[in-house]
Amino acid sequence: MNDSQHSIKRGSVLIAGGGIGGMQAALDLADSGFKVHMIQRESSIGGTMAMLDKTFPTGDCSMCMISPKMVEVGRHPNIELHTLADVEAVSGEPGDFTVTVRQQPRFVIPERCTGCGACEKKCPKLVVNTFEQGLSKRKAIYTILPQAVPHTRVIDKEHCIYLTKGKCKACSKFCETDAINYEDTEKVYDLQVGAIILSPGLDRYNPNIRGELGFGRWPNVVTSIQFERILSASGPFMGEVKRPSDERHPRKVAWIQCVGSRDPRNANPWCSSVCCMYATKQAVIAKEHDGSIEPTIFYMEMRAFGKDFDKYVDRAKQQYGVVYRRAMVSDIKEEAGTGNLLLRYAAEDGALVDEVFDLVVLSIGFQPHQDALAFAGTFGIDTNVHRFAKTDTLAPVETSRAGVYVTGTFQGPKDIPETVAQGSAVAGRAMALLGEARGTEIEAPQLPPETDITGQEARVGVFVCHCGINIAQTVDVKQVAEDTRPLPDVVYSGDLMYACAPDGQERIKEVIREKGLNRVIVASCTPRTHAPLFQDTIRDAGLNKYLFELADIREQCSWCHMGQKEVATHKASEIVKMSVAKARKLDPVETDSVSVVPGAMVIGGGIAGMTAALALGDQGFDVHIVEKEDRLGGLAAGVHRTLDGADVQAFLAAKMDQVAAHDKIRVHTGAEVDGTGGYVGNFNTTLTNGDAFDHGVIVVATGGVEYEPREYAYGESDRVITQRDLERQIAGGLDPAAQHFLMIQCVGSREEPHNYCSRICCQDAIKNAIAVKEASPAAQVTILYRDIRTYGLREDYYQRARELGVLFVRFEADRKPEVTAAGGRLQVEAYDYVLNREVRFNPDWVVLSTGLRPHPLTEKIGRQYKLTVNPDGYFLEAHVKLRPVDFPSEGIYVAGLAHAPKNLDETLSQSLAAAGRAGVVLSHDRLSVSGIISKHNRELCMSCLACVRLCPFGSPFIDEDGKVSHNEVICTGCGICAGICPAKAFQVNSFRDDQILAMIDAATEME
Amino acid sequence: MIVGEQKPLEEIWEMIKDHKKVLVFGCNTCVAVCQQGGNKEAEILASMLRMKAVQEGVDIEITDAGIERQCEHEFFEKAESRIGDADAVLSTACGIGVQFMAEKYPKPIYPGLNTTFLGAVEEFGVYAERCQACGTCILGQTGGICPIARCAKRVLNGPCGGSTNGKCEISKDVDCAWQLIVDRLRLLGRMDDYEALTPIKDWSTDRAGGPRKLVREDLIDE
Repeated sequence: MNDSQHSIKRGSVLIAGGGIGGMQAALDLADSGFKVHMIQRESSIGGTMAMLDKTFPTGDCSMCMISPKMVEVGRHPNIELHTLADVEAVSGEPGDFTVTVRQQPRFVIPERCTGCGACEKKCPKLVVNTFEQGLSKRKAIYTILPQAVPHTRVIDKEHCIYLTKGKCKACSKFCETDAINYEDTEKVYDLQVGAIILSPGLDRYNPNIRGELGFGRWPNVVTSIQFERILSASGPFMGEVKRPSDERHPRKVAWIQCVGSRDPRNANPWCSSVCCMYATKQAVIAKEHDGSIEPTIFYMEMRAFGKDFDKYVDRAKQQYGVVYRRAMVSDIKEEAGTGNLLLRYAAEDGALVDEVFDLVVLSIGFQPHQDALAFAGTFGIDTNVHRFAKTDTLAPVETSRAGVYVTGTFQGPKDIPETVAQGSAVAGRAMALLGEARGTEIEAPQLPPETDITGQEARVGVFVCHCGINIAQTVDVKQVAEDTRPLPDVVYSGDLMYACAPDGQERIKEVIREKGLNRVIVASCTPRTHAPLFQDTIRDAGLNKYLFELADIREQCSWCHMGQKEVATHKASEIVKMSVAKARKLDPVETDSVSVVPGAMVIGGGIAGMTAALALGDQGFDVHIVEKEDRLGGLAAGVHRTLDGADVQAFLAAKMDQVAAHDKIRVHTGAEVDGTGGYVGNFNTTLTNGDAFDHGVIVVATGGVEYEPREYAYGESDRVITQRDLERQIAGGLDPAAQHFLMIQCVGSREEPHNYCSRICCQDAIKNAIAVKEASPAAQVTILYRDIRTYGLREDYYQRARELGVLFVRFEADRKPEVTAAGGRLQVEAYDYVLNREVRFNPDWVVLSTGLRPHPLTEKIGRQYKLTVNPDGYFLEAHVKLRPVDFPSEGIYVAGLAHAPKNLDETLSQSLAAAGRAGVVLSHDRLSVSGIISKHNRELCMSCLACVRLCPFGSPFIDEDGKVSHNEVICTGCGICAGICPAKAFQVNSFRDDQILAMIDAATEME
Repeated sequence: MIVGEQKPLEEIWEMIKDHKKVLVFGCNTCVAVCQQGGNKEAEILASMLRMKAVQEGVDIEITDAGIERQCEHEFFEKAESRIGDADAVLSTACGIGVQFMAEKYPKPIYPGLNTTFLGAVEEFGVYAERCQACGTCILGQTGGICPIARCAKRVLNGPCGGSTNGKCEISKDVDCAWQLIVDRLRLLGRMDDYEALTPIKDWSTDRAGGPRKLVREDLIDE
C-alpha cells in the first residue's frame, strides 16, 4: 500500500497532540529514526491521562506511569516539542507537507529558567486551577502539573497583573536567572514534514446541561474527572477522600453513569466506552483509600467489554462490596443544611425510591473538542456526523486526506491501552509511508565520553526527593539527607523537590560535576519507572549508567507508613543507608550490541497477520507469513459485512491480492513453526514443511476460533443457527418475509468457565437484526441479552435497531432462556424483568450469538516462545496499559484475537501497532543489550542444569562442549538463575551477592 | 548421582549445640546438584544455625566453607586451616564424605544430610532412585529397567501377585518394575528375554559380602 508516488519523502512527522497516544507515536517514530515535531496546545504534554489518579486493573498510579514517558519524550533527541502551539495551515502532499504553526508566548525563557519555582511562590495572583478541575487555585505564573514537560513555567497572560494592569513584576524581581520576558510575542513559522498524525484527544461533556443532576448547584455533586483529582495524592485534598462543601469524609458515594453519553436529546448519542470501567475503578480505589465508604453505581448497562474487564467488575462487587444498581437517577436534590444529596430513581420493580448519599460522582463522557470542526478544516480532513475524524472501519487510522493519520479519542472513544496501541499503529502507518526517508533528518545523540573510574575511591552522592508531598508529608526528607551525610564514601547528600523534573535532573548533573561523584543515589520512588530516567541523567554527566542506585522511600516507606513520621523517617534513612552500602560496590557495566536481521516472521495469515505483514513490508522489511491452513484469510472468511456495512469479503480479497503481489512478503501456507532459535534481532526459524529463514522479530497473530454452541437446542433443529450462519444467508439474499428471528446473546461467554465478554456478539446481533429489518420491515426480531455492549460510536446502530422495531428483552445469567425444538416448532421461554413475568416466544429462527475462544494453537505457541496466557487462554501482553502489543520477551509482538476478542477495526489497529513496534526494532542496524544481565562463570559452573530448566527465556543452554553456556543477548536479568545456582556461577550485574550482602549488613548492623 | 536430603534443623542443632566453633562444610558435587549440600547450601545452613544460636541464647561461632568433593584427599588441602580451627564440623556431604572426613580429622564430624539414594533428576526438584549398587548388573536382560532398585521385593522373575494395573501393591504411586520391564521388552521385540529364567542371584557382590572395595592395580603407582 504505497500511497504516494511523490518524489520527495521527508524523514519527519508532525504529531498534533501530546497526550499518551501522541507520545507513544512520537517515541516509536523517534526511536526508529524519524524526526518528530510534537505540537501541543497546553504548556505541557501529558493530556488527560496525567489527570488520572490510578488506572485499573492493577491500581497503578497513572502519573507514575506517564511521567517517565513524558520525560522520555521531553529529552528525546529526535523529538522537538512545540508547546502553546496550534497548527494554522497545512499544504503539500503525502511525503512533503508544509505546516504553519502559531506559537503563543510563554513569557519565560526556557534556556534560562531552572524551574526553581521562586516566581510561582511570589506571584500574588490566584487563578482557578483548570487542571485540578476548579477544585483549587493556582498562580498566574505556573506549570499545569508539577511534573510538567517542558518544566519551564508559563505566564497566564489573561490573569497576570503586570500583563493586564501594567504593574507587579513580582516574578521578575525574584527570578535569579532573569528568565522572565514580558515582551515575549507569539511566533508563526513553517515546518516541513513527511506525514501528519492527529492526536488532539478529547473534551468532556459539560454536565451543567443536565440541570436535574444539580451539577454546579449542589457542591457535593462532582464530575468523574474532579473525583480523579480528589483521589489523587497530588490533588486538592492530597489523596484523602473528602467532599467539596465541608471537606467531610463521605460515607455513601453514588456514581451516575452515562452522563453526557447515550443521550441524543440532552447530550451525545454515543457511548464513551470507558465510564463503566473508570467508575468501577474509582469505587474500588475510593474504598481502598477509606474502607468506610459505601459505593453505589447507577447504570443502564455494564459495558465491561474489554480483556479481563468482567473479572474486575466481579471483584469490585465481591471483594469491595460495590453495589451496582440498574437504574437512571431522575433527580438530585440537596438536603437542607447537611449538604447530603437525595437521589430519586426507579427500582427494578418500578417503585420510586429516594436514597440519600453524601457525595455524587457524575460519570461524564467524552466528546471531541469544541473546535474539532475547525481543527479538521485546518488539516483538510473530513469529520463524521459526531464531529470525530471520519475513518473507515477497514482503515481505522486513515483520514480522508492521504498522509494525514488519526489516533486516539479523536478517532472514536477509547481507553488508554487502545489509545496507546493506536499510537503505535499510526506510527507504523507513517513508517510505511516514509520508509526510505528514515534516518535522514535526525542527528545521532551526542553523549560525553564515559569517565574512567578504575582505581578511584567511591564518591557517593545522595539526592533525597520530596516527590511534592508524596514523600515529604510522611518522611522528614532533610533529616534523611542529614543522616546520610556521615556515611562512608558519601561526599554529597541533599534534598530535591522533584528529582525527576528537569530542574531536579539538572541539579544532579551539576553536583556530579562539582563534587566529582562516581556513584549516584536518588532516594525517591520505584526503580521500575524511574531508574532508567536517572541512569540517562548520570550518563549525560559522563558516568556509566550502572553507577546509579535508586532507594525506594515512597512505595516502600512514605506510602505505607502515612502518619508515622518518626519511624518512617528512620526507615527511609535505613533504606538509603543500604543503598549507599550497595552503591559503594557498584561497577560500571559495558553494554554489548548485536546486529539485526531486517525481517519479520508473522505467525498466522488472517486479517491481523496480513495487515501486520503488509505494514512491515511497506516499511521495506522482509516478511514471512506462516499459515497452517492452505489459504490465508482466517476467521474473516466467514464475515461478510461490518456493523457499518463495509464489505469484508472484498476487503479480504484485496488484502490477499496485496500480500501475493508484495515483493517483500513470502507466504508459507500449510506450515507451522517447527522451531525457532536465536533472539531479538537474530531469530532463525524452521517450518514443518522444511522452509527455514532468519528474521529479527516475531508477530504472533494466531487468531481465535468461534465457539461451537452446545446449548439452546443447537443441533436439534436446523432452525437453531449461529449469527455467522444468519450472516451467510443474508449475504446470499435471504428474504426474511414476516418471519420471527429470536437472537440469544452471550452464548458461551460471560459464564464460567468462559467468564469473559467476546465483544463482537452484540454488534453481530445488531448488524444482522438491522439487515433483517431493512430487508423486510414485516419481519420480527427479538434479542435476548444481558447487557448490550455497543460501545463507542457503535451505539448509533443500537439506536437504529430500536428505531426499526427490534425488540430487546433482558435476561440474567441465573435465569437463562430455555429453547425447545419439539415437533418442528421452536419455543423459547424467558423471564421479562420489565413485566416481571415469564414470557414465551415461538420464533421461526433462533439465532445464537456465539463467542470467541483462543486458538487451540495458542498454548503450543506460548510454550514455544515462553509467552504467558491469561486465565481465559489469551496471550498476556507486557503491560495492560502502556505496552499493549509487546510481550515481556523482546522482539515478539501480538496482534488480533490471539490477544483477546475484538472487532475488526480494533484488530486492524492492533496489527498496525504490532508492525509499528516491530519496525522500531528492525529499523536499527544494531541493538544494544541491557547491562542488567546475569553473568555466567563457567569455571564455577558444574552444569547441574538448574538454570537451563528454570530460565523462562532460554538464555542458559547446553553448548557444543556439552556444558552450560549463557546467551547474554536474551538474558533479561531476572535473576532466577542466580537464585537457584548451587555453585553461585551466576551473578546479576548490579545485583551481585556481595552487593546485596552489603545491603543486608548495612540494615542489620547494630547501632 | 548420590542424592541427599538435609536433616531437620532441630536434629542438626542437637548435634552441634555444645561446641564453641563449628564449621559447616559443603561438598560441591552430587549433593550440590540436588540443591542440598553444596557450598551455597552450607552457607545458608550456617546462617540458619547462627540465627538459631541467637534465638537459643547460645554462644557458638558458626562459619562455613566447602570444597569440590569430600571423598578425595587432595581437595581438602585448601580447607585445612579452616577445618583445623573448628571444634567440630557439620558436613553437608553424603555419608561417604562425612566418613572420609572423620577418618582424616580427629574431631567430631557430623552429618548435615541423610544420604537417600543413587538417583536421577526426573525433572527439576524431583529425584528418583535408579540403582542400588548391587555389584552385578542385569540391566542387559531386563530391558534397561532394574528390578533390584525398582521392585519392592527385588524379585528377578516377576511380576509377583501384587501387581495391579501396572502399579505395585505397596503404593498406587509406585510403578510395578516388572510391568515396566514387560512393556519395554515388548516394545523392543525381545519378549524372549522375559521368558528366560534368571538364576538365583549372587548377592555376595552386594552388601551381603561385607564392605566392598575396588582396586585398580593398573592405576596404582608402585
